[in-house]
Amino acid sequence: MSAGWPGRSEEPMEEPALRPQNSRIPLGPLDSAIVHRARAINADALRAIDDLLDQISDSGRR
Amino acid sequence: MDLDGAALRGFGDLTLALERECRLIGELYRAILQQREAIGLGDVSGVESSIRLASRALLTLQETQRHRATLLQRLVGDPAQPLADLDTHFDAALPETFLAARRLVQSSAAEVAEEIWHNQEVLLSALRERDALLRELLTGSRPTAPAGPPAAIAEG
Repeated sequence: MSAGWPGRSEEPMEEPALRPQNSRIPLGPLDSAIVHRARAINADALRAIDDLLDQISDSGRR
Repeated sequence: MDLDGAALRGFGDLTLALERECRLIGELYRAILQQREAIGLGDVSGVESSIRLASRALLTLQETQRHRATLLQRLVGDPAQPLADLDTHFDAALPETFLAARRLVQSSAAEVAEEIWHNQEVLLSALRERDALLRELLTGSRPTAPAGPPAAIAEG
């Protein structure tokens, strides 16, 4: 059912240009807060793995 | 330094510590893949769960690394001794089990780092697309970002 005035659905007006039905809004229901949290834990993980690789490799002594 | 009984026991403990680190890197790897899948599906609880798994793996990994430092202190007197240079302290070849565990940790760590980078790029790109979409919805104008619009929009 179309929004708008009574009889709106009978009006021969074109719908405003919308995204195609199969077009996904980026991130879907994920809000930016959880994305930032995921990025933060990933950054921690990268630091930990970098440290580990430094400890294992011979060029690691800083 | 001789590779005597005490040193061999030290290497045994060090090998166990490295094997544990390898298992934890595996847990981190699974968490990262789960995170990527959940992002693709827009699965909030899946992302939450992946964050919890990754946090737990990281905390335990840090504990294991502290334990490894203690073992190194006992073995060669230096908790920060790089594992690749350990052979310089000993006259004989290091135990093969230790060398294998060290290689495995190194390759697993390099592999998981690549996967994490990939997730960071996916997340950053999704955030940018979302910002661009919001800007478009609010202002009615296409974003002026250098990156082109998502394919679905371009085709629409």
